Amino acid sequence: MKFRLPPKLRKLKFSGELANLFLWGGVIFNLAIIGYFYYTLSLTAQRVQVILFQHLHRNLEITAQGIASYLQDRCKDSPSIYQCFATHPDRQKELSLLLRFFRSTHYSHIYVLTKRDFTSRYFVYLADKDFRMGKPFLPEEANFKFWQQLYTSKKPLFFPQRDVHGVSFTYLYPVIRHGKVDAVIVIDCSMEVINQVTQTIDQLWGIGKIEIFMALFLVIITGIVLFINRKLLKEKRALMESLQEKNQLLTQRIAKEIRQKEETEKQLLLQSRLAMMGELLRIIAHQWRQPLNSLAGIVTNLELRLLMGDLDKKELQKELTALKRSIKQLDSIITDFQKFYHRQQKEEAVHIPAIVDEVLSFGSFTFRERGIKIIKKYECSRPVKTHPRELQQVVFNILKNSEEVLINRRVKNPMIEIRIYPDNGWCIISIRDNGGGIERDILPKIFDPYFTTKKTKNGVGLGLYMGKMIVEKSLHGKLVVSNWEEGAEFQILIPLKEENDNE
Amino acid sequence: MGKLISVSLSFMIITMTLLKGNSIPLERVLGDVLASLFNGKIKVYLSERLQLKNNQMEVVHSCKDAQLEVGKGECKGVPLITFDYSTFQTNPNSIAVIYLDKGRVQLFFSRKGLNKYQILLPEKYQGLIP
Repeated sequence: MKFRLPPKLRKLKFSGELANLFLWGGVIFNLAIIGYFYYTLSLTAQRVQVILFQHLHRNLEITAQGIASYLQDRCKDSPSIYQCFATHPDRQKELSLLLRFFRSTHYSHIYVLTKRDFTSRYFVYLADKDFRMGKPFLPEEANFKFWQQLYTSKKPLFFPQRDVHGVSFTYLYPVIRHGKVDAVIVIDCSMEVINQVTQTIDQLWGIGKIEIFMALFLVIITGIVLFINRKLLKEKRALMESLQEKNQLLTQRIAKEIRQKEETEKQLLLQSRLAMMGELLRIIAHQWRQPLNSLAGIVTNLELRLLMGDLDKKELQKELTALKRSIKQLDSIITDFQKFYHRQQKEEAVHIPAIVDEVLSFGSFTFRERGIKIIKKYECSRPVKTHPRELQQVVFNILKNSEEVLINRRVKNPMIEIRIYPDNGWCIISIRDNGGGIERDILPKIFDPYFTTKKTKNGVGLGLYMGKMIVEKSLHGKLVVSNWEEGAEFQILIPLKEENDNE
Repeated sequence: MGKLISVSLSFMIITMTLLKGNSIPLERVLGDVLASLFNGKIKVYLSERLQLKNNQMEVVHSCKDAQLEVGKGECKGVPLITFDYSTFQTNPNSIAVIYLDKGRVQLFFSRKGLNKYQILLPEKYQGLIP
């Protein structure tokens, strides 16, 4: 089963917003981790300190209780502990040895004091590790209140030391006899181990704080970057949407323009065809004149003979044959026109020279009439797949242009040379005249629509433009123009294709 | 190089200041005792090497010229402030003892010594005569 993102997320997939979303998630997750880390670390440090402290306190209590019970037991017959030890020096030694026994790394000093005079500020040693009974001991001034408090509260006390070298805490345990504090067991704690642990925890805590600070800093920076990025993404999205809208509008406008252009081209083609039809009608009218004259002559002759009554059967037969010939000629002209005008949608394999000859036969009478010599040089004998009627239209236009130039410029010995030859995959139809050529400055504009040099009514400037369009778009060829020594040369390049080619 | 020297000097000065502040509690107490027991300048013979800076004290190099001895108890007939408890107990000239015990400053006065030299014990030191 494939995993599919929900539709909302799918939209975000490639926009970078998903990455942003993940980063935000990362930021929140990081904050949670930092909080948890902070909480755990502080809690751990406190717990370690508390556990160690409780452990130490319990140890102190046990030690003091042990010593106290020893003192109670040893001095149960004496009125006071001081007297007990003063009268038995061996007990002093015993107590000192016992105190030595309790010394450990946790305890800096362990000693037993008493107060002989409650008004005095100092205590007197009962014992310490050095058997110093009777030596006075003055407690530190800063904590004197604790020492005094012991006598009123009669409960063990535990207080920190600041100025006593090598001592972190002092534990005071009262030994109570007959309802009075008879002796004080003092244990100075070095706290070396606890301090080391605390220091290590503090160091760890310090590093942790730096780490937390750095992580917070990074999270804040990431947050800021993400915030800026979010704004940028919003702007980007808005821009993309506007771009898409504009793109859509542009596409619509381009499509509209293309449609309009196509429409214009259709119109231009129609105009061109109408212009050409006018020309053809002129030719037809001209060509029909001779057979019509012939028909009129025959009919007039027949009428006269009929009136005079000397029309024999043989003569009638002869005139009817002439009549039929003229009618056939008229029919042939119409058929040719139909063929010429009829457009075919499909390509067909044709011989280019035959196509050109059809055009020539259609207009040859005018060339002949106007004394224009037609020179034909045909080399391309292979059939070519193309649209023959459209090709004829182009050839016709070029020939008519040449004819007009030759007549208008009153060229001596006017001629049109038509060469058809293959060249490098093309069948080239070259039509050149000796009409003096096209002026160099207008040569690049000659295929532009509505560009004409003709001053006659027929000159709309669409013939060559449409010719180029037909050759390039419909025949997939090229139409080029150049000047040769005596005039202009138009070349129609038709691609040579096999008969069985689809294109 | 200059930076290195200045950093080293700063370090040394800071270290010395710190050591100075922490290493002489006895001298500080001695200064207080002198100020409390004696009025005006007092000529002191030091029988122990001490770093004492006190405007009230004029250090002399002979017991004859001294009004007070601080140290081991070399002078005769001169009040003594000692740093050793057994000297304090045995020397009849000793008026006070200052020493450290279990990290605490111990200061005691001798009634005999004070009476001998007719020195009045101020109120704040009452209760420090064992």
